[in-house]
Amino acid sequence: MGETIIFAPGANGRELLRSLARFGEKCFNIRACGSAELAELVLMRAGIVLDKNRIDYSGELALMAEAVKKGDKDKYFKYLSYSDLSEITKSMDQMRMMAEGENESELLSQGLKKGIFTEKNNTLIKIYQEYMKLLNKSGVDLVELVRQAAQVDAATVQNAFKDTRFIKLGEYPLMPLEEKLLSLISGGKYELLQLKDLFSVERADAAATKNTYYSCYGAANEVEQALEEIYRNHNLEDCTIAVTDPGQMSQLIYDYVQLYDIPCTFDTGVPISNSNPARLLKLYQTWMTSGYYGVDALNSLIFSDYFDRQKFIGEILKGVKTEKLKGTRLLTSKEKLNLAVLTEMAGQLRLSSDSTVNKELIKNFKSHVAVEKKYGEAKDSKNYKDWLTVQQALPLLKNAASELSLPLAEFITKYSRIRYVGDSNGEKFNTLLDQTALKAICRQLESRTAVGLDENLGECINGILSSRAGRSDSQPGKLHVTTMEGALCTIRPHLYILGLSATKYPGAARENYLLLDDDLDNLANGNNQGEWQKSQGKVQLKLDRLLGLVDTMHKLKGNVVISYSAYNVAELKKENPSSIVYKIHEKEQGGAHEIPFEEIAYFKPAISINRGIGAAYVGDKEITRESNEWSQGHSEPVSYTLQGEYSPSNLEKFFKCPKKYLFEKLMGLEAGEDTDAFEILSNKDKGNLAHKLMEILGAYRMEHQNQLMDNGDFMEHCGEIFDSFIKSHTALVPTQVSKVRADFMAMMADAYFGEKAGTDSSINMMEKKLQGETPEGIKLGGYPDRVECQDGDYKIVDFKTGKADNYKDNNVAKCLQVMIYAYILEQTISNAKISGGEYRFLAKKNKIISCGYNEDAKSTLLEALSKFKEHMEQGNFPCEPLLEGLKEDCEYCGYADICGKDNGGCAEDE
Amino acid sequence: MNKENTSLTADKKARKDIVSCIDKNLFVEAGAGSGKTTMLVDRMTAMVEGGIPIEKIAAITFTKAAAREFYNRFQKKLREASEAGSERCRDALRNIDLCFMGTIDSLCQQLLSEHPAEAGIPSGTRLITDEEAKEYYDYIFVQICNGKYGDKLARQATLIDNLITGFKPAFHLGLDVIMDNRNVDFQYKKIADASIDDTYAREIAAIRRFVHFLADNRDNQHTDRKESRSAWESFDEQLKVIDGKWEGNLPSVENALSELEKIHLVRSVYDDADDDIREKLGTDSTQTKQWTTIKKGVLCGILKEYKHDLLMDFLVKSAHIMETFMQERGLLTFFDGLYYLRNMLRADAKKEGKLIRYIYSRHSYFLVDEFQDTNPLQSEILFYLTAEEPVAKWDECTPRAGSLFIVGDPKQSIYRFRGADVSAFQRVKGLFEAHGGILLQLTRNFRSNKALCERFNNVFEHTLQEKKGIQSGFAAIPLPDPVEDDDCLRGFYTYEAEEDQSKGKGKNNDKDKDKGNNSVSDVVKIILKLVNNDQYKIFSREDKQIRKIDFSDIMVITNKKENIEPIMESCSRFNIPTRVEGKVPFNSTAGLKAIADIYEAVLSPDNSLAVYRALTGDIIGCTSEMVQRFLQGGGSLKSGKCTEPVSNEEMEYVQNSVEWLKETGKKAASMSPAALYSYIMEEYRIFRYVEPNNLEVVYYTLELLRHKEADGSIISQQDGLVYLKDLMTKKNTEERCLSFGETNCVHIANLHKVKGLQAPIVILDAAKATNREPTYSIIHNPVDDNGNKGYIFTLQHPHFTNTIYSKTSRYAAQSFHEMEIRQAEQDRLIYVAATRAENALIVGCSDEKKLWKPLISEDNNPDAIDDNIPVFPLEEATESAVNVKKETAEAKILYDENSDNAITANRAKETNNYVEKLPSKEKLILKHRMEQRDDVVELAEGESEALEETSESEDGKVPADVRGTMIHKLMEMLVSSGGRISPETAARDICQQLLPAELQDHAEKMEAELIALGQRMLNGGVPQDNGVPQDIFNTMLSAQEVYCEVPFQFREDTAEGPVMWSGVMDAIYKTNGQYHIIEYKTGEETTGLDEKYQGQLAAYIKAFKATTGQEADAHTYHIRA
Ligand code: SF4
Repeated sequence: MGETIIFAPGANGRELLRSLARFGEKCFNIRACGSAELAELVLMRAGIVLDKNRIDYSGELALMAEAVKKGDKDKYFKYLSYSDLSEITKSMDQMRMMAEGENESELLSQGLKKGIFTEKNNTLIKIYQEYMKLLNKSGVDLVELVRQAAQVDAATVQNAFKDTRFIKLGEYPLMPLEEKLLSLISGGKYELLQLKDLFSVERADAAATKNTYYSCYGAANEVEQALEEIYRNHNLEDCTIAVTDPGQMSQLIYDYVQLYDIPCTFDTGVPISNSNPARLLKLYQTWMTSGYYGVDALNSLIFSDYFDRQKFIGEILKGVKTEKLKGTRLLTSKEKLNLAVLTEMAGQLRLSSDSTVNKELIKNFKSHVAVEKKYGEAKDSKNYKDWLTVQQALPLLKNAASELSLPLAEFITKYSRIRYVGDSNGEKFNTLLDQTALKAICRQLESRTAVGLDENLGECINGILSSRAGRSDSQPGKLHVTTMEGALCTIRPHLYILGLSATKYPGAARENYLLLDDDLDNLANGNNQGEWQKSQGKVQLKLDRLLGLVDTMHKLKGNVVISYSAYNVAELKKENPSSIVYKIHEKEQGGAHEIPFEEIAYFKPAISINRGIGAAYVGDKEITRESNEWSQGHSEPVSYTLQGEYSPSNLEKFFKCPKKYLFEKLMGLEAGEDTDAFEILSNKDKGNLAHKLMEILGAYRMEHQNQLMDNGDFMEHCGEIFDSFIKSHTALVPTQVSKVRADFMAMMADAYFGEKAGTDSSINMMEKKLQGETPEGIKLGGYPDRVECQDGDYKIVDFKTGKADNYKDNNVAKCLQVMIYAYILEQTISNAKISGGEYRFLAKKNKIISCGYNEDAKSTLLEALSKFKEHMEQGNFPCEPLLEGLKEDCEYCGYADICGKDNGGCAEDE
Repeated sequence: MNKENTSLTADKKARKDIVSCIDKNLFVEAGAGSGKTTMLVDRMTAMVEGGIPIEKIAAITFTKAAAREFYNRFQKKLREASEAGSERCRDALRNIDLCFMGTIDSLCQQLLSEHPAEAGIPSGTRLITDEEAKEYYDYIFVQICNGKYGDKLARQATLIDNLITGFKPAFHLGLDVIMDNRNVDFQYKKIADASIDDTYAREIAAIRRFVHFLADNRDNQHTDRKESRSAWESFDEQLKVIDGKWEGNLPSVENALSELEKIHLVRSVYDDADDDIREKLGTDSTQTKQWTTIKKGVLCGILKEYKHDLLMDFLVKSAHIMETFMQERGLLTFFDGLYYLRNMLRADAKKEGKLIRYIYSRHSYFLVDEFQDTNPLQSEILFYLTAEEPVAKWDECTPRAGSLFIVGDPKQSIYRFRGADVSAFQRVKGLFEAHGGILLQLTRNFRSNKALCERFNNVFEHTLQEKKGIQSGFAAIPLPDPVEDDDCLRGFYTYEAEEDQSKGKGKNNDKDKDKGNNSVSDVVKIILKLVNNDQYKIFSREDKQIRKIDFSDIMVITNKKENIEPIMESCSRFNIPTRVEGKVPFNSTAGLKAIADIYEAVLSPDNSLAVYRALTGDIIGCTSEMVQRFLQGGGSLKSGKCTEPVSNEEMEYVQNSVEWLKETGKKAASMSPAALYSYIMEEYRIFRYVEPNNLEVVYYTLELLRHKEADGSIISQQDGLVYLKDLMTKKNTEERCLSFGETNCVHIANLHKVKGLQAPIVILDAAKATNREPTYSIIHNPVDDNGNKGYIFTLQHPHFTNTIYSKTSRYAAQSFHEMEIRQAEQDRLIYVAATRAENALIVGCSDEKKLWKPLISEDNNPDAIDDNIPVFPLEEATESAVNVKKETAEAKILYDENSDNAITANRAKETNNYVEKLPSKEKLILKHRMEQRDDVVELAEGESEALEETSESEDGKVPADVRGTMIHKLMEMLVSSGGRISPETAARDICQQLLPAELQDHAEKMEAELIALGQRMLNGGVPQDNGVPQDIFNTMLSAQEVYCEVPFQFREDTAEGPVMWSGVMDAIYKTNGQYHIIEYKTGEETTGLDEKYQGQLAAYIKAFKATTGQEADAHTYHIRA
């Protein structure tokens, strides 16, 4: 009966056996082994237990990192990266596998010393020696395992394997040490076969076929063409797609799998970036790098589909008494945590992934709260709710800080949302993908941390994001996607080889920078076993394997479809077919012939339903469209009856651009704002701070018989409030704060002198709500900054920190807000004489623009307000200002693309 | 012999030398249309025939496209030669993949990746785009400002921040230039410790002297102007500031100086002043005015210079930091590739040149194309690589004979902005000569006809005259024989271009632009006239006959990207099909906008504006009023819900549409950004309502998304959205687009993109000649390679040229020189444009738009247009001029048909025709993990099922499956070692290998259990209730045959289809000619196991029979202590 061992390092044994069985081979006691598996078997049957820890690849990496530190004292590897480390590890394994003689160390140093690049090779020798010392202490790695197995007693082991047939495959060349092992256990009696020789049975159900060649228009076209053919002619489970560029192709195929719910297994895996954990990781990376821990980046992270918000909210609320949050913005109307408000605060504070930094930030926030508390806000003021929010936010922010600074692997594990929904092929695959991706991410983070390279986290994440996940073996009922190497093991009746263009396969001959061809020659010590490992040998091996695969397919009377992109549509370049295609064709036809490529047009494969449009378009046909019944008619204007109060500022908005008012105020369409991570004090914040300080200044006057606060005291308040603001809005570049602070202080100093100049009037009220109504019944209400009184005349005062360009003396339209306030005030204080209103421009050295309130002004105003009513009721919202002189800045308007105003995008030109 | 004849003789000799002198180094200047690619391929083939191994040849092209073209032609040539019997060519053909054919950048990448440590970079480097590099600029900027690179630099940053408005943009601009010219020494005044008082002592003294002079003239103040009056009022304050220490007080100093510049003095002051003083006083005084002013900038100028120097110093230091930062991370730009390779080679040359020799042993023969456009670093690299005896100075390296073959046309050098430099070209040419190379010229032009060549000779002899470091001379083109009739359209034409209607800036501009759009452009008039008109025929070289003109015979060349769109629009109004080089109309493609709007709404259902946009877009087609009514009726765009019952069809439609978007959103969760894009196209059948204009743009966008996904720059759908938006808002650099089939189109191209293109008829769109002041200049010093000098004159906003962040006037001479160089390049651009034409060239010109004028002006009067050049008549175009009648197709029908017969509509092919059966799930899944080492995370077999039901350790016990696995392993070890392994050793090893890390606490207990079990098995086993020998171990040991862990796999064809059986039998032994299969069990049950596992045992028996043809029995064996 006996057993058979196929020694094929790198092959997927399970798939190989599956392929054999599928073509009728009766596989009993056949093992397709890699080196480790065979070595373990040999040792066990020889009765040897190594009694040493097996060190896997990441363990090797960690050891190697230490070995490099010790061995490379002269810093030959100046910038040792993770990829360097894995290259060193692989090369070290490779050269050890080449030293098949007794004394590994001796052989290696001798070989390397002969090399041209002495500095490199000496470094390698030293690293090797250090590594071996470390290895001896910690266990056995793969090479050592094979070495041990290759050294067992010949008689014993040959006896243990006396009934075993050994096979070596031409497509899987062995390293010298592996060769030694095989010779030892087989007593030199092994068979050298080609892959096709493993199959003794010919396929009964097929007639001899010949290769088909497609020249496609882009990679997607290749995939579509293959899918069309498979769906049209074969069962999915009978087909393998082999790709030359697994990264790109697996992504493309995955896309089609998702779009059309195609059952498919990926031996290639698919790019990990399709998984939720990886996408979360990417958002995390952006948050910590180009997002600078700011609001936008934090929101993108927290409010993404990939993040488990419920869990996060749970953590945030731990130990927090929700009653305390009542009345703040931190609760929604349904008394749930309003996460957006919290993340905004956290982002402004720039809570980070670093717990020490966060501690400092929380401390800052604490002192901000204290300062805020000191200044307080009256319960009836319009800022009270915001104020209260700041007062209560601290415990929540603390919790947020500690969650955000969890170690990355923990963070991702805790907060990734794994997709469990759905029964479709695509959805089930995604569950698998998310699970494996999460594992992979954690494993990689772990391994990368373990090697202690002090690697930059951003780059480490990049490394992880470029990997793939969701790999699995072939399954019944499903199409199987694999690499060119993988295709050797997964033989099915129909093979589609995609991506055989010259740039992709076999690729350029590239040397291994650690073991140059020259070194390999030296290490091989005269025998030609090193050939296939050399740069050109590797290219040759690729070619041989593909030829072997095609041979096998032919023997089994399988179909081989070969395609390449004659045109790369993404890079808009023509491509040549790989030279291997010529070879395959030459072999099939027995001599050089033109390859009968069939050209596949972009819209040919019958997959997408848009292709008809495409084909008609390419065919230069005129395509007649339907007209959407809804967009015809259905546009009688919508009337708005007046409801509630209208504030002067909203009314001003209306008059500047009724359309914008419609969108923003009536329909509630929110136009997002662009934020600049580098901005230290936004105009809005600047306005708020200045207003607050003017209130303090005013309040003092009101309390002290119109006496002005001492300049020094005022400036101190200014400084304190500004600094406190910065403590809750962490600047990205703290050193730039001083300039902003100086500007702000200069503005407030001017404001103080402006205030001083105006002390002949007294302050009558401040930030108090005024309400009124027009004869037509339009209700008005709002908070004017101030009402001042001089000699019995009242005036409205409004502070501005922006530009004065849009305001004009004695022009009701251009002083609209204060005029409306004047009107309301008139109704509030009976018999009062209202002289008018003025704007004080703090940033313009207290420039004042004022407008007198008189009958003329009043009638202009009332006329305007009734126009407002009329337009609202008629549903008439034009894009032009409704008061002469007013103008809205279309340049920064978020509705420019929908308002219909033919403004040609004001924002574009110089 | 006339010039043309001399030229012809030289040309013929050159062509012969190129293929015969393969042992010589050649430097070939090849004019436009001279067939240089053919010559390159011929030389390569000659080299192969001459016995040079193909893998030692490296052909370096300027673009990847050229490399592919090259590969094709070389392959073809080799095939021809091998068919003709050349053995060497046949061999070469077989190994063509071993020959390097690519750009210098890819050669650099390859060599660097083969020797990263020598180049001082990590392995596994990554090429990054300029955009990406800029993100890192920001990052570094923050780090520097925050003191990560030292307090001193941070302080300097703060100082600059206080002095310059726009520090960050200036940083970006400056760094951009410096990072890509790190082989250049940038000039500025070095500031010792950033102290202005020391560095500028002399200048400050001069200013103080002047200000004191003003002080002495207080009485002569002229105060009729308010500004002057207030400046005099605060004079003493300013004086104090200026006399004080400047360092640490710069904003006040600046303020003081600019105040002082407002001062006016009575005129007599000027008259009495000395020359030094007078220099600073306004020249107005010399005229009639009663006062004299202070010249603008004389006081503040010094601060400007200081700021510039300070900034330059900061930039240069930051560039070093940036360099290290990127080096550590293995991020490379294209420049870095060249730079690190050059540095590596230079360092090696300084030592023994071992590396150079090693590389030479692999790449020994370099053939370089388009040499005029390459960065000068490329020459250095080539000289090192081929050096006979490498020495540190590259220009002292002598290239080995036959190792270099360089082709270029200095007249086509148009990439100065990317580092190309005519002086470097000339220098290499000189070196060739000095080192015994041969200089050759290919002057024949196979592209243009005789009439054109004649004119070219006339024009370019004047405009392209040899000037060292600036211009290479033009050699006369030998005139080809005329092939066409006189009736054919050929040679030069001119047309009188319309002047711009829109002059000046401001609001009116827009309207004028509109007007411009509605008028027919000159170019369109010409096209309409030429095409399909009996009056105008050309001689087609392809068809070798005279025929009417097609759209595809015409190429229009504009000098700016911005000019392309108006022409295209104008063309499309007259149904003129176009294909564009240089600009992709993403923002005017209706389909793209429709997809993007839905894309956004789908991704951000909470963004009511986005939802609104999608609802009111062409596809869903709601009107704004419908949405308003929906909202008024209590509807929400976010939830799609309505507080009041939906009262009419309209509202229902809105509601359903919101619902549809939300549904799409749910599906989107499983899709990649590109897949979502496709999905929207399908799901919403967008072209039912949206015009499929620019369909290629819609699909190109899809391809771009896929591409970006593949390179990792787009990961989430949000990234995809941002990318789509950027594409549509002009933030894209895409210049070419898909074209579905080379249909009959007019080709429109921007001047910088026309290289390598040609057409029978070329129209040069009239344009103004502009010459902006250069912002920087790089001079590659021909004397020694450390001497490259760079000058940044100004850092200003790229579009708002009035926004200047920093500027120096110190390098006026260099700025002037740079202007001269650019002017020369302008002349070459004209050469490039004109030589695209095969039959005829139509040149637009007017008084204002005279960019192309040199082409059509008189020999001796460049201001006048040559009367001999025929004027192409422009007439008003009519719509009917080109009559295109198209077949029609109905979108709806196309959709319906194609959805019915889409392949995936039929799912029959997805059925399982075979079933996999595993008799036992218990397998050694933890084994052999050591061999996993690629970048793909693998699921071990069976793990996909296992994932859902991972065994957890209950009440602190080792999970049953792990325990089972360990016991199985124990048995295997005992049996297959024939008892050589003791239970103790085995147990220890098993616990070490198979007990997962998180269960290591149980190791001791588990080990004890295994030992006990092992001993029990060695010492007679445990009683079984199924007749299996109790002492199974010894039974097996003494059996005729015994096998452990036996895998099997076979196919059984049943009536329901094939079944694939696979599994692993725990043990098989043979006694008395009879095979027995044993299945170990380790669970808690001990009796009745055979019945319980009947199915499994039967399957084993069947399997055994099917695969070996032998009979066997099968039983369980329960293992317990
Ligand atoms: S873009 Fe201008 S017109 Fe349109 S809504 Fe905005 S402000 Fe009004």
